[in-house]
Amino acid sequence: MALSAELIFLGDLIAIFSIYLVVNLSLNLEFGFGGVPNFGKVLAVAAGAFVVGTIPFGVYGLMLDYGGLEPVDDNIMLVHQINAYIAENPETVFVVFAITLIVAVGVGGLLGLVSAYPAIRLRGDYLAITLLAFGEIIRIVGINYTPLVGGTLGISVPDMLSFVPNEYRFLTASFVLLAFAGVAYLLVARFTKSPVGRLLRATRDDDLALQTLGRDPVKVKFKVMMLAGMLGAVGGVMYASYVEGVVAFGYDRLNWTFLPFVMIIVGGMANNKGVLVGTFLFVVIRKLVIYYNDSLDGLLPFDIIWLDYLALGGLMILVLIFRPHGIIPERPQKAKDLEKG
Amino acid sequence: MTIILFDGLIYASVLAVLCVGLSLTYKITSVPNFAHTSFAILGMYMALIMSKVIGLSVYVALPVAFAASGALALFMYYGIIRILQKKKSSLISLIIATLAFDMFMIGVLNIIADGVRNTYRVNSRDFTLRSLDTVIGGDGGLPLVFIVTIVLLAGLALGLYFLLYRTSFGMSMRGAIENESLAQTLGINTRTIFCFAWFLSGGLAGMAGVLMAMWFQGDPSLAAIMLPSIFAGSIVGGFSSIYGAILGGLLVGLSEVVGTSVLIDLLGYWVIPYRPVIPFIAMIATLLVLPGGLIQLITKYQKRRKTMMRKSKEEEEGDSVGT
Amino acid sequence: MASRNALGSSGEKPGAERHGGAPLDTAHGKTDAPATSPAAQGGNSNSNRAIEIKDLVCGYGKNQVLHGVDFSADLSKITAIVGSNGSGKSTMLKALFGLCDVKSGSIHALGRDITHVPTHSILGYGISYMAQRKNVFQDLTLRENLAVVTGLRNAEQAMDHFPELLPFLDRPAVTLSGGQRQLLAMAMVLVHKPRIMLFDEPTAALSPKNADIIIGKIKDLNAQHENCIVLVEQNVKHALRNCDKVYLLASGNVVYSGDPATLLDDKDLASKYLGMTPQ
Repeated sequence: MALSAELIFLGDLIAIFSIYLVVNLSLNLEFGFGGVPNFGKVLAVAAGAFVVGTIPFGVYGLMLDYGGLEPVDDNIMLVHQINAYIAENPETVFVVFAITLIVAVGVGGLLGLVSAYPAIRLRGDYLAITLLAFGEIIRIVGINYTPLVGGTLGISVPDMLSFVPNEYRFLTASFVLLAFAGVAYLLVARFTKSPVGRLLRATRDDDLALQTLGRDPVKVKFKVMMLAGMLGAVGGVMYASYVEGVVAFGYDRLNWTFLPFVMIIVGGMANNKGVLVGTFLFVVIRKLVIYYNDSLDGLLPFDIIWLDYLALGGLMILVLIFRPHGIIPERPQKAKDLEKG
Repeated sequence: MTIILFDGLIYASVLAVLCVGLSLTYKITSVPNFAHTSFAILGMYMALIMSKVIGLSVYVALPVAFAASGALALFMYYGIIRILQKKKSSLISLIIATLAFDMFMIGVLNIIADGVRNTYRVNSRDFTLRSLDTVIGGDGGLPLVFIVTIVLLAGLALGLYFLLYRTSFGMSMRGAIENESLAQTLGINTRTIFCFAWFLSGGLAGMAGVLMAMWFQGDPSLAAIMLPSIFAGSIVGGFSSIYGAILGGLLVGLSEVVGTSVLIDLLGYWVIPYRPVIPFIAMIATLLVLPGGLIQLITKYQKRRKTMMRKSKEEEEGDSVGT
Repeated sequence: MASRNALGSSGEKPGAERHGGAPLDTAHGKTDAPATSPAAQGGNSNSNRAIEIKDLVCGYGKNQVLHGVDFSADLSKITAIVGSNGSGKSTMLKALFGLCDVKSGSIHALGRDITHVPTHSILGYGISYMAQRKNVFQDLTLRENLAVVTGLRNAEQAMDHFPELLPFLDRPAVTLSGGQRQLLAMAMVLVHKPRIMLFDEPTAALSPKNADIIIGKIKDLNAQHENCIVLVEQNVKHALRNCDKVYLLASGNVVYSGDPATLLDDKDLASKYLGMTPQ
C-alpha cells in the first residue's frame, strides 16, 4: 500500500515541525530567556546529528559481525545489513537509540559549556561573531574529515524503525518525533516557569539585579547554555534519524541557525507559546512552498530554491521593522514572580 | 614559490580592502555587518558580466562594481539599518537584520548566477577571469591584477589618510563618528556623512570582488566562506580602527595562504580543507587574549605618551586658561 | 501667561507675576530687529523676542521630562535657567536644538518655527548650542575641531577672539585642560556668529577662576553683539548675578520666571529649590 501524497505531506509536516520545535525551544532558552544570541545554534544540532552518524554503527558493531564492512566506505551495504538485523531484533533499537541519545545529549551539553565560555566574557557583537564562528567550524570539520560522517558525500544511518511494517513506518516516525517534541515542550515550559527560569529572564535584563538577589549570573548562564546545547543536540538526533542520514553540508547557517531565529522572533521571544506558533506557521508555509515548487519549475530562469532565501531574508527584515516583538509578545515579568524564586 | 607569493599578497590585499570597509561601517553604525561579503560577490558578478557577457575589458568592471556595490550598501544602510536604529532596535536585532540581508543576498546573487548561465551560456559558478588578464613580461611575468591590487590597497591607505586628516570633510567625518550629536549641533549633516561612508565601504568591497575573480575563483558561496576571514582580519586589527583593519586583513590573509602552505609541508595535503579554521583561531584568540586587537597595543603606547604630555603641561601651566 | 506656576503659593509673589507675564520692554527702544518678522508670534509680539517656547512637552522615548513649559528670551539679554538636577533645564536647551523628542508645543526662534527642524540645520537659523560635556571632538586637534565648523582655511581665524588657545593649535583636544576645552567649545559655536547662543552649564567642573573667565567671555559677547544668551547653570549665585531674567525649573515645570533679584528675595522659593538657607 502506497501512502497518498496528502498523507506524506502531513507526516512530513509533523516530523519537521517536531524537529524544529525542539531546536527552537533550545534557542529560545538561551536567546529568549537567557539573552545569549547563539548565532552558532547549528553547532549543537550538527553535533547531535554527527553522533547519530557514528554511535549506532559502533554499538551495532558489538552485536553483529560487520564482515569487514566499514561504516563510511561500505556505507550502503552496512546500513542494509544493520537494518535487516533491526527488523529481526527490534528490542536492540531501544538500547542503541538510548545510548545514542545519551551520548548526543552529553556532547551537546559539553558544546553548550564551551559556548558559554565566550558568552560570559564577551559583549553583544563580539559574542555573536564568536558563536557564529563556532557553528562554522563544526561544518568545516564535518565536510572535510571523512571518517566522521562521510565528508562531502555524507552517510546513511541505520533506520531505527526498520522493524515497523513498511506502510506504517513513515507515519510512526512522525508521531515518535511529535512525542519527543511534546516531552521537550513540557520540560522547557516547566523549566521556564520554575524559579530558575524566572531568574534567567532576570539575568538577561539585568546582571546587577541578580547579583543583589544573591545569585551568580555566571553560573546561571553556564547552566542555560548547557541545557540549550543538550536540547539542540536532541534536535539533531531527531533530524538525522528522520532522514536516515547525515550530510555535513546540510548543517548550515540558514537551516539551523537563521531559520530558528526567524521562527522564534516571528512567534515572539522568551515565550514558549510564541515559539510554538512561530514554528508551526513557518514549517507550514515552507512546506507549502516546497510542495508547489514543482509547478513553478521551468518557468523561471533560475533554481527555485533561491526564492526561499529571498523570502526568508526579506520576511525577517520586515518582521524586525514592523513587528519586532513577534505574534505573541513576551509577557512582562512581575516583580513578585521573581521574589517567589 | 612565486605563485604562493602572488596568491598570498593578492588574497591578503583583497582581504585588507574588505576589512577596511567592514571596520568603517562598524565604527559608524556599531553593528558588525554580516552581509559585507555579499557586496564583494556582487562585484565579482559585475566583473563576469562586464567581461564575458558584454565583452568589455575586465578592468571596466572596477568602477561599475564600485557603483553597484556602493549602491547596495547604501540601500542596506538607508533602507534597513537606519530604520531599525531609529526604532531603537537592540544590537542583536540589528545583527539579525544584517544576517537576514545576507540571506536575501545569497538568494539574489545565486539568481544572478543562474540567470547569467541560463541566458548567456556563460559559466557562472567557480569561474575565474584569470585568463583575461594581461601578464607583464610574458609567461611567468607579473600579472597586471597583482599590481592593480597592491596599488588599490596602497591608494586606499593613502587616500583615506588624506581624506580623514587633510580635508575638513574627513575631519567632520571623524568628528561625527566620535560624537554624532555634537557634530549635528555644529551643523554637520551626519546622515550624509554616514551614507557616504557606507557607500564607500560597499564600493570598495565591490572592487575587491572584481580583483578576487581575476585571480582566484568567483562563486556565490564565497560570501559565506570569506566572511570569517574578514571578521578575523578586522578583529585582529582592532575592530574600530581603519589602519588596524589593513594590518589585520593582511596578517590574516597571509597567514591563511602562507600558513597553509607551511602546514602542507609539515603535515601533508590533508590540511588544505582546514584552511578556514586559521582565521577562526586568529579571531577567537584575539578576542579572548587581546580584545582591542593589535591596534590596542599601539594606542596604549600612544595614550601613555599623551597622558605624560598632558601631565607635564599641567605642571607647567597649572589649570589656567589665560595667561 | 508665559509662566506656569506649579506652586500654590505663587500668587503671593507679585514680582514673579509681573516678570513672568509679557515682560516689559526694557531694551531702550532698539530698532535693529531680526530680519524675520516675529509678528507670527501672536500675543507676545515683541521686536526683541529671540526665543518663544509654548506649552512644550518633551522627553526621551517614553520618559517625559518637560510637562508643558512656556519660555521666552530676548535679544541683548542674558536669560538663565536654574533648578536642581533632573529638573529639566538641560532638556530645555536640547529641545531647542532638536536633541530630544518633542511631543507637543512649539518652539520659535527669531520668529521662525524650529520645532521640528533637524538638529544639523538649526545652526542655519542663527542659533548655537554648547553642550555641557563632550562639547569638543576629543580625538581631533584644535585646528581640526575648528575646521569641522569653518573649513580648513579659516580655522586659524576662528581663534581671533581666543588667543589663549593659539599655542595648542595642533594638539589633540583630549590633552586640553577643562577651561581650555570650554574655550575651544565656545570658539566653535561662535564661528557662525549666531544671534542666539545656548550654553549648558559652561562653568561646571571648572575652578572658580576659570569659571569667571568663561562667564566674562559670555558677558562680553552679550555686550558687544546684542545677542540673546540662554545660560543653564548649576551654580545659582553665579547665574543670578549675571543674568537679566531667570527661569526656575522643578520637575519639568516652570515655578518661577522673572527678575533674578526677586527670586533671591523670595525666601520660600530660594530655600525650597535653590538650597539656600533662609537667614
